[in-house]
Amino acid sequence: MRKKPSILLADDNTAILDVVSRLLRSHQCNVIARVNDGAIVVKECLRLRPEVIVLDISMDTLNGIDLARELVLCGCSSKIIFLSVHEDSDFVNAAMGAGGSAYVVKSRVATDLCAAIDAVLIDKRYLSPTMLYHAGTS
Amino acid sequence: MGAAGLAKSVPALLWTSRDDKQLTELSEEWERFTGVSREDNLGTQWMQRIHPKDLAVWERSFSEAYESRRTLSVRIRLERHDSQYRWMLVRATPLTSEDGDLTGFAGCCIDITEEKDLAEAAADLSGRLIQAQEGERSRIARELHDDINQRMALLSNGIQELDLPQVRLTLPQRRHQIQALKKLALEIGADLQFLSRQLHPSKLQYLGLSSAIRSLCREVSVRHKLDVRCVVRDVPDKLPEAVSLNLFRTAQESLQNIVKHSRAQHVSVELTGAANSIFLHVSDDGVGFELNHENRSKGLGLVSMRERLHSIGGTFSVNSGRMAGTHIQGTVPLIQG
Repeated sequence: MRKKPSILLADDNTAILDVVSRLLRSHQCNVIARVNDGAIVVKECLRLRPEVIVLDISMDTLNGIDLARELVLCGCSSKIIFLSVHEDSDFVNAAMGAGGSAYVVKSRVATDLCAAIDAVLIDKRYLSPTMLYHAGTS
Repeated sequence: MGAAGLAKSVPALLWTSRDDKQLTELSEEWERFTGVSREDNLGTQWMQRIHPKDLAVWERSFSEAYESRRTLSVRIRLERHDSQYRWMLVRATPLTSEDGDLTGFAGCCIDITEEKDLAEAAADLSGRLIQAQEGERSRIARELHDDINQRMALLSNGIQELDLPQVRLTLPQRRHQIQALKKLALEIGADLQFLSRQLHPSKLQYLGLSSAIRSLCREVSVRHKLDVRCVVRDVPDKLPEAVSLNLFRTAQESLQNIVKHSRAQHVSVELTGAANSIFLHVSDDGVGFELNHENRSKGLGLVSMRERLHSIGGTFSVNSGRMAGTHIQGTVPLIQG
């Protein structure tokens, strides 16, 4: 049996945080932190060094894509999975370009998030099947 | 320059009247304005030039000023030499003798037609902008209420139904019901997103102006089967919010006009960044239009684009002509911060 992966969840919507934590716990994941304030996401990630960060693209006024760039610049090696309500390939391109490993649309969290976690843990990329990713065609 | 010279050259109709309200002295400007000699305006002759609708106002104001010996201030229309009625601001102060008796008035009339037109255009514009905004709000409210709300009700009823003891569903029926509800929830989500995108393009906020403009062009091109060429060059990633929003709305409004009116086949949208400004150029090969007074004041789109760019210190120009396509250009300064 694999070791439980450590996961940090960042979303400013607590209802979504609840659903996602429940889902991941049942998928044998170790949710080590839930952050609902975008301003401290980077600090917490660098402090806790989770294997995977599940990051909402839109947290209040903060931009998850900018946060991901910042994390990469800070040398953070955690895999980033974006959660997003934007079902739009421009968003996918920008998110993956900013250092994301996966892009999961919120309407499909229940079916796609666990698959995304499994994929990024073995260095693969993952997109919700409803999204098309045409690299470099934005 | 003496007082007489001054009276000769100011662009105002100067006059004095006696206590019987007859005009006794007039400046030279009267001849230029009316096209007839000063003598022909003396006494009450000049009053034939007052617009018929303003005559009563004039007489009442003049009499009141006389009786109360107060300053006169009134706006009336006067006929110019070219038969055009001009709005005049008439101001006059009472003249008194050494004993304190009223001997007449000394006054002037100044042409304020242009100022009045501008003020009216501004009031008219803000009125129409408010109307347009209200129209948009009520459309969105209607969509939220009539469409989204109804389907939310359907969704919650469907969920309740699954829970009712008296409704006995077979397992396949149940599964079918759940699938249908899931589909409904996804559809509602997608439609809400579409609605919210119309209110404010989220791409602008998250992905920046370049990406939002490219996506807008693509969308218009696909939806309206139009060849839209989009070139974005040297545009900084981070722009002040007002700059990116107003440039985006200008491009959006231009494209909407093209789709609605131009019958164009080819459209070009160029967004170029320079050292301290951003330049937007939208042009089409459509039927164009004559730029005349009528559509200059009526075309809410053109006016609102101009207002938008002016509000951020930019400039806006439109060139068009019958069968000559339409070219819209906007330049917005960037303040290095």
